Amino acid sequence: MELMQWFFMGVLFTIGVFGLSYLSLKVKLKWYTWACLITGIIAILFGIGWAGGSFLEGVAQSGAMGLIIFSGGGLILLLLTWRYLVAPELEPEGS
Amino acid sequence: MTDLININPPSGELPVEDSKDFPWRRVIEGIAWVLLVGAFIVGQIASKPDYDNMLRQAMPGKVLILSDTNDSLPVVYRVEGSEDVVIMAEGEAYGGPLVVGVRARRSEDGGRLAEVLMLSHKETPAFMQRLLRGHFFRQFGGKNVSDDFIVDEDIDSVSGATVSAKGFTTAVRNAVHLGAVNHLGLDRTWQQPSWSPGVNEGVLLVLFILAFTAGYRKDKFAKIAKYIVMIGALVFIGFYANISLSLSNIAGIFMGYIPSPVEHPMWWIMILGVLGSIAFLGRNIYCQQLCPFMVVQDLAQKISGVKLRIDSRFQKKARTLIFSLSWVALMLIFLSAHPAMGSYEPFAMMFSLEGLGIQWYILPAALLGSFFVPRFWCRLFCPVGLYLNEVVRLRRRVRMWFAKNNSGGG
Amino acid sequence: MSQDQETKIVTDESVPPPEHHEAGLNDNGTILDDRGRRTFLKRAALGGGGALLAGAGSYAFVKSELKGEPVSDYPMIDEAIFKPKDQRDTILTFIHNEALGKKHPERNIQYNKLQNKNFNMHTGFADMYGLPWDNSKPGYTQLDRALQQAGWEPLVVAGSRYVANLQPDTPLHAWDQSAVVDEQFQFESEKHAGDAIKSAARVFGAVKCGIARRDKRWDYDPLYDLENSKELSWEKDFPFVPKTVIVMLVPMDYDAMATAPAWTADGTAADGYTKSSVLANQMTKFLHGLGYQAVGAGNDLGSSVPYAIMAGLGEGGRNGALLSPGIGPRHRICKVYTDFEFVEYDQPHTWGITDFCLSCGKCADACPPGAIPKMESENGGYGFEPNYEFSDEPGYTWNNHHGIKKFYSDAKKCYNFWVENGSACGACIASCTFNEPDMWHHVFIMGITPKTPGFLHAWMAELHPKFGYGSTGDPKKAEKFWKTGEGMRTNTEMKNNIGTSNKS
Repeated sequence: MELMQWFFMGVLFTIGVFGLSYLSLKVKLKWYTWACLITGIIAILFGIGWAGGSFLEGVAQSGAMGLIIFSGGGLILLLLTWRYLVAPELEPEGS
Repeated sequence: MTDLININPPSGELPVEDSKDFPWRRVIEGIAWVLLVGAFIVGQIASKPDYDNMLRQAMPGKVLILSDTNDSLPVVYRVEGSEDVVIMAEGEAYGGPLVVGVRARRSEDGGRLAEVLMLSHKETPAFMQRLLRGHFFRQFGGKNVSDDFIVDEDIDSVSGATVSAKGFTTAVRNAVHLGAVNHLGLDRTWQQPSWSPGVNEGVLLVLFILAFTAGYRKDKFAKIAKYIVMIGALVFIGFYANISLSLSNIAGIFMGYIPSPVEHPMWWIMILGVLGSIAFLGRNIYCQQLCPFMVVQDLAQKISGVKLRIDSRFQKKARTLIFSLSWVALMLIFLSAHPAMGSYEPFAMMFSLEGLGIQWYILPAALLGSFFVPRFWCRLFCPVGLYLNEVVRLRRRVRMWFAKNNSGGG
Repeated sequence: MSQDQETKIVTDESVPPPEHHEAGLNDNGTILDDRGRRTFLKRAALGGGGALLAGAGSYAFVKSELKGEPVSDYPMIDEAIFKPKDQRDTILTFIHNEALGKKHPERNIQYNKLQNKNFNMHTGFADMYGLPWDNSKPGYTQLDRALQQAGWEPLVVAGSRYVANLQPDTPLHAWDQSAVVDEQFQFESEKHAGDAIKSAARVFGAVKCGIARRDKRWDYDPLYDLENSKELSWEKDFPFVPKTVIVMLVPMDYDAMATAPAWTADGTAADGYTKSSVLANQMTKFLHGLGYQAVGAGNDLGSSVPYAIMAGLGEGGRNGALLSPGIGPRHRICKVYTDFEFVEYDQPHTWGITDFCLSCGKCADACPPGAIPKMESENGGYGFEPNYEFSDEPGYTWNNHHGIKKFYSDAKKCYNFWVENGSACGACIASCTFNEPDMWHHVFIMGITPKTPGFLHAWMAELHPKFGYGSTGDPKKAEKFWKTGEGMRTNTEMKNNIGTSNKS
């Protein structure tokens, strides 16, 4: 289980790095947009790592709270940044 | 948002297979019903409480002598070889009746409580945990038997578990005051709890009224009302009072666990409001406007802006999934005669942050799903929603049946 | 969805940066052309490398934070009130000696009067262990009683059981110096000596070890032999003049302690007493073998918590225990007094722990008899003198050591609850926000705590129970404890692999 968790986090990390690098070629973004995107990804990873530790020690509540607060917060940040700061850059005409 | 309100397929008919084969589906459904009824009866018979035994288990090594002739609660026992008496009494809480034992001791000024034992309860474990963590039970030790024992007066409540706190306090009050009169011969110097619908009941009532009007009007007021109801549902029904409906409430009604309107007016406003709106208006006002978990899911939706579709065939299967899940839950509930036993919904815990085991795995999954699939929980897993909508549909059918018969007869 | 947001950001199309204009889908239908691909890979490598570096950096940061900062202002002492503590006025010695009870009957009377109790301090221990078990009550069953008794048993066999009540000179902590080897081993340097002692301590089972100078302020004076009701003097009776005190911590089991105040928790406490006595005994023998005089001690000889603080092992907590980074209060302390002094001494350190206690108060909420000062009490309960309920009644605070800035608790109430409970309690250990299993996320929080602004501490303390930690009196935890043995032979969970102990 623990191995799966770290493997999964590694995959997410790689996707994050590749995704952001690719994004950096496609579009020019403000520094704070980058900061939000990076923070979001780190928060998601942190929450998964947190939950992994908590489930291992047998405190499921901490795991759920970690996922909701850290990963959930990261996900919200990422989604909002994408919708309002990144997407308009990708399709300036709107849709 | 309106397109999301009817969360179940509007067709109204159970999908019955056309094939001429053996009607497996009906047989399985029949067996399920029979088992459910059987579980209910078995649970009711098995759960006849053995008060004596309960008390003896809670106080091992003590010889207890019954000192009245009552065979219903409250009853008084003397503890052999000591001055102590133990009084058992009952109270109503959110999940059903609870039984407490109060060990008290004569003192210069009448009598003092030595210990309060929770002998049996049917509360959601989340609420009990909250009371424990709020050190609610500890405040009874050392209290005088002629104290009032009224929540928010001389007993501090625990936010998020007020109903359980009240139920427990009532049971203790009944026990203690009975002992004070019968055993110690004290006069009734304490206050009786009065029926005092407070701010909380008012807020809930206002939320219901706003929800009704918002559904009928299309003007600016309705729009504002809608937002107020949304915030109220989340903050008040969810986090503050934590009274969202769950499968255990529905099961509790079937099992006759109906609290008194004096002690728990909130419960009555909630149930009458929800069922009343279905009966008289034909609308499921709870799922559409008042469910705090629905609001949470809609907020997640608003944030993500992603609306993944659920395949319609899968959506139909979801009905079967919910029925199966809630069948298992109801079997557990009926067999144990304990409404909180089978509730798998994560709301109570989400809003109080107290919960047990499996719910903690369900909650993050339900929240994650709701970011990408509109009303993920409502459509795929929620038993309360499914049952309330079934009642709405039943009402529609009854009306249609009346309309048909009337026109046919006329 | 984004129509109203459109105006927010104006794209910079007119002046594309040189690296950008070739990116994107090209004629061949591949996503990136060669140059784009090179840039992409370069950025991915840079970004990934940067992220890994940042990760390594935060790991190093947390690691270094766990070392703490040296402090110069410990201890804060009010010289006007402070004097060395008479061992007879400690709760555990007092209640265990009939002669002292006869000498001070007013203490028991005053306690019962003020607390409205009917409690006999001197028969308390017998009453406590006499409470019958109840197999229907998790944590109070025969299983739990057996665990507790077994935890103490080696000390009973060795005749050292009363070390817990501060009895000096028991067989495992003997004052006899006849076994000291004639030849004294000479260490290359003070550091060499300190490292060697700590290495030996780890082998003997210490989770942490620190070395402090002997400090008369922390030694009980006079000492008292409970078994013979006899006063002992440092100058006349103690075999040598101690120069150094080696302080060692033995860990207690997380899941057992989590059951507090159930008897199960006392199982690991009892075991901790046994392990720490064996540890002190072994360390004493080690020093004897090196040719130096030494006497081991558990609760006896001196106050363990200030010695442990002086040895840099942790800080004083609201619950009166030593809070040590990584394990919090979940440990037992033992000491070895020696005349060896060519050694590198440790300094008191801070990890912001006492500071955190000022805005936490979870142990005070959890304490069943309310013996720990609450957040609401004057100065948060932190000061040079006790300020708990009735502490201004003359003579009521006889058990406290006045004049040191710390949190003072009412040990009489604490002990009273033990007797009612049928065993020692431990709720203040189980509920402590610093008591965590050895998992990376707790170590991380521990590491960043000193750098978080103070106003966040109260909030962090609230999150501890919200995340499901630190509840006490939960019978489920006793049930859970008795299942924790499952799968232990393979230790697939790799607990204790983070290294929160001193150096290893």
